[in-house]
Amino acid sequence: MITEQEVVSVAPTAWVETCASFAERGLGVVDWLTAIDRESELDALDVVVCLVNPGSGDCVIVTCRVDANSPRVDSLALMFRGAEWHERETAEMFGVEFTGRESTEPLLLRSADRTPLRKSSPLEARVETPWPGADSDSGRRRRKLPPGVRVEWITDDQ
Amino acid sequence: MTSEPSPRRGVIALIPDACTSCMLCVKECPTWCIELDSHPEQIEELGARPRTVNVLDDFRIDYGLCMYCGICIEVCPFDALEWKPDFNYPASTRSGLSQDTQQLARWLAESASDS
Ligand code: SF4
Ligand code: SF4
Repeated sequence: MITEQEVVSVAPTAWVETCASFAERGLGVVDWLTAIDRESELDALDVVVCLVNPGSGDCVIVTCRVDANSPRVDSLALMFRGAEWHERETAEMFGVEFTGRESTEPLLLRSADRTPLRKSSPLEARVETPWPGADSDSGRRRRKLPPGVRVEWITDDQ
Repeated sequence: MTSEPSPRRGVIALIPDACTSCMLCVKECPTWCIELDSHPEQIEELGARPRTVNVLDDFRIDYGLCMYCGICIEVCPFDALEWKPDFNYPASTRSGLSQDTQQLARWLAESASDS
């Protein structure tokens, strides 16, 4: 059964402290941690963590909003060992810097200069592959880009 | 009646006569696995002004890419796409998984007689 989950939004400065207080109330395990790119609306990222009480199954979602240009928040990994891997993944995919922990080494990518889950990250295959939904050259309608593809990703030779 | 769940989401079949070549399914498919060719044709009927319709030439679904999300069926305004239970359509080549209008329509008919 899917139930409505409690969502608590806090300032980045209160991130660790808020999660610690939930841990004291029994919600002491990180179920998952990730980020949401709010770039288009707000030029920000939301860092999101789901804390659970493994005994009762209760859970809470805690989020904090960080600047998209220098996304940085204190690490939860010292307090919740389960956050370790998720922070590495979030650092790699969204470019979030988790301070106060050992380095967040990439899990999949060889270089750390790409953040594939940021909306600004070009979808190369979508630029190179001809879109079957492109309108035919009848000239009746203006060419529309495939969903998620930005005009600045298209170079002149395409 | 048995309690076995029926494999109803086996394949997506096309009713070619219902398809207006509107391209909505092609544009919405997240994996870009539908391809459609059509051409405009003038229709002249007695007592009416000539009008242009799109005539479907070819409709293909690449089942090597399809993830069976059903979005194409949801978005079709003309109910031209339908789930059908057939699931057994392997191919020995990658391109053999791409099914054309005739095959998509055949599934429609075969399944109708089965059920
Ligand atoms: S089921 Fe989904 S992936 Fe498959 S053709 Fe339809 S929209 Fe595309
Ligand atoms: S959405 Fe329906 S009518 Fe439009 S092209 Fe697809 S199958 Fe044909």
